[in-house]
Amino acid sequence: MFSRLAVAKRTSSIISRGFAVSPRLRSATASSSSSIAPGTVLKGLNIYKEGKDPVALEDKEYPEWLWTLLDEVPDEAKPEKERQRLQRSRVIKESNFMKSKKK
Amino acid sequence: MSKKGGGAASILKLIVPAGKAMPSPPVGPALGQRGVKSMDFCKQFNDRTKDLVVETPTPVAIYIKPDRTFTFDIKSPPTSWLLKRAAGVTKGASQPGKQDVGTVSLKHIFSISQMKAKDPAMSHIDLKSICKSVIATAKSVGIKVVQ
Repeated sequence: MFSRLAVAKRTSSIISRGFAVSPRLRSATASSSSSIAPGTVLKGLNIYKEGKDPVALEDKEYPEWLWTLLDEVPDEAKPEKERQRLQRSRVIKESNFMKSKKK
Repeated sequence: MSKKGGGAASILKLIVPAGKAMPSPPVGPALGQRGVKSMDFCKQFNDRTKDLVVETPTPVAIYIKPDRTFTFDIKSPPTSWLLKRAAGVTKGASQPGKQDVGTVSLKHIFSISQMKAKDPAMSHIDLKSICKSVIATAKSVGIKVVQ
């Protein structure tokens, strides 16, 4: 059972390395430039008859946390409970895989 | 979810095009079954949604009391619909996760979340969490979110 956990942990660390750019690097380059220039009309988001589509503001006018929403959080930085949940689900998937192989 | 006749109030959840309530298929039978006159509901609904662009899909929760009177709450349009409009796309991906049908920026997400935050159901949830939900919905529809 211990070895299975070790295998699960090993495979998980390989899977989590999905992106070429590490989170820290991405936020350093990204926070300086959003793909939408300020003043662009955000089409399709107006639902009122008397309203207009909202207009994109300057990057600075949006809250700081907005730019962090797309960052990948490495497994180690996640809260304890979430890490345990992910671990559990990996172990279950691993064991399901092993069982299906036996058939 | 449907209790007929006497007892506690029943809740009916529907998505109705704004300003165009009446069609028999979605609204008529669902209300009629519970003894509510669909004409009454449609008049009130169309009146309340007169500020919205016609045919905007509008989720509505109708609370029907045993004496057949009703009240209803109107919510913001479905997030997936808003996202598709923002991305300029009519249909979502047939295989979300494997396909991307459109792109949307974090600024779009922010605007959409501001609309969602007006819902009474979201009043206690902070904007950051709403944004995260919207990003997750985008993923389920096959719309990519970029900076």
